[in-house]
Amino acid sequence: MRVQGFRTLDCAHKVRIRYFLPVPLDRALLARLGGDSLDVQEFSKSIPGASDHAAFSKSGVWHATCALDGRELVVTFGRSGPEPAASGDPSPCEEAIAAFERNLRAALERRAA
Amino acid sequence: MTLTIPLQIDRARRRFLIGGEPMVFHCHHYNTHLQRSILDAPWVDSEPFLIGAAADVAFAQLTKVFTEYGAASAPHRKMIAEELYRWCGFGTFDLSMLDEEGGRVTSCNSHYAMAWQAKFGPLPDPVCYFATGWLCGALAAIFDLPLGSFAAEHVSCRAGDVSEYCAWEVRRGVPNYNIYRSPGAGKTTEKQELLEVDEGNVDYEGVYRALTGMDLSGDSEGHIPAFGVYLTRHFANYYARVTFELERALIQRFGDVGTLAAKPLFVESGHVCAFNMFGGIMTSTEWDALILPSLETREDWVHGLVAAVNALGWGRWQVAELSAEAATFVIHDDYESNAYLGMYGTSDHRVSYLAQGAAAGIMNLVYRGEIESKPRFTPDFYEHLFKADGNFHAEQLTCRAMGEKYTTVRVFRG
Ligand SMILES: [Zn+2]
Repeated sequence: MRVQGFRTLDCAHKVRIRYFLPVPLDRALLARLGGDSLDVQEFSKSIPGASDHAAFSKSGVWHATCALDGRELVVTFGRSGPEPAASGDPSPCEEAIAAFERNLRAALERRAA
Repeated sequence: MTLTIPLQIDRARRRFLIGGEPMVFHCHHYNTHLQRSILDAPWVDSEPFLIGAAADVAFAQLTKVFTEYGAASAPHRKMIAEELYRWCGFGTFDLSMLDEEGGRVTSCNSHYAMAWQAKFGPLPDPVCYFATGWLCGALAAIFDLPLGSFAAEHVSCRAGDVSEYCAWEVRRGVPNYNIYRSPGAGKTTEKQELLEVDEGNVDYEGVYRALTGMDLSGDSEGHIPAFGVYLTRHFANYYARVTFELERALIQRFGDVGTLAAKPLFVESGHVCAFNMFGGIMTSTEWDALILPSLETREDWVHGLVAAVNALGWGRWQVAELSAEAATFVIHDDYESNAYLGMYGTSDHRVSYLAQGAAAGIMNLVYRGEIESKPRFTPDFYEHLFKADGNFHAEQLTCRAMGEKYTTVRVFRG
């Protein structure tokens, strides 16, 4: 399954990747991504036609959000709080990114199986 | 120990209050830009009011909250103060070492220091004026002393490139800041007189209900990462005090020219706020889930954002007129006016500067920013939106602070 990811820095110099998945996101898939907290906002109860929204994270490692049933997953890597403008080197995140993407691929393959 | 935050939602006026203080959402871009504009203003010694404004709101809020909780002991009060500070996204403090004579306190997570580093890079001078004042006000409230019983020095700051943390020395004695008296809720409307307006295809009530139901509060380190920025649930009376004290200082020195000099500084901060926070909201997954499915026209994008603005604690915004060329925003209980009326009485000029900058920002993002393509919010994009030919400008037509029913801002192409 092909996952497209577009890497950028957020406005506080943290690595942010927008993933576009081949299948819609649901709670079962999110549960397999290795987070330690999940907060779902049931927006569909407030507005007909709206999707529910999930914010989930692995404390101090990454923070992710997505519309449930959507295909876009936005993940910001690194510890909590803005980074100094001068730091510039995102390498401390590479291990966390690789681990997250391993989990993501495994979750998608399991879903397809 | 966790604290149930005594958040009061004034749904009728679209405001939030904690301990009688109106609280508004603003992001780290606005906080640092506004502070830098104030510090850069020539011939004004702004430190006494940047610190004093914070001491005042902290003292007023915590005094009320301690009473609401029946918190009598210093340890209990310190816990409440620390939790509120973290919850609001200002960072973290451990107040346990402070006593009635003051003491030394440090923080690794000061919002202003980290935000300043991220936005402007390192600065050798300490930047956490808000935290400095908050400490003085909080300690006075904790120990049942009058506001102004402590002085504080911000001896090292993480905003520089030397220290890994911020440190303060607080001592009992003559305050090194101005003393104010918070107007609390300010002078609000008795009842908002709402206009019959077209709301496009957006369910304003539903958006308000959904967004006010979200848990937007500080994490364990006192940060609120949301909508691509770092939010704070800040004191409306702090923003108003520092804004209007600078304006008054400039008027005192330069007469009417002072008003003319102050206005662009504050409107520009409003542009920065809109660009980053509104831009972040409209490109967020929350927007995709909650608001995007309702949008059918470009005008709906304006309505969708204004519906979200109504959940920021800024009062109630309505769109009275809207086209690709111009818009008129009517604002009931705009927090700048409410605070001005409570602090200084009726104004002889229009003072809703944040509202002007924010309103122009909405139109620039929607009609000039191709916001639906989720652009990156770079300095070049900011220049294009707010400085290039054809951008939208705001003019304030009415102002509640001048005794009018509501505030009106018209936005048009320049
Ligand atoms: Zn600092």
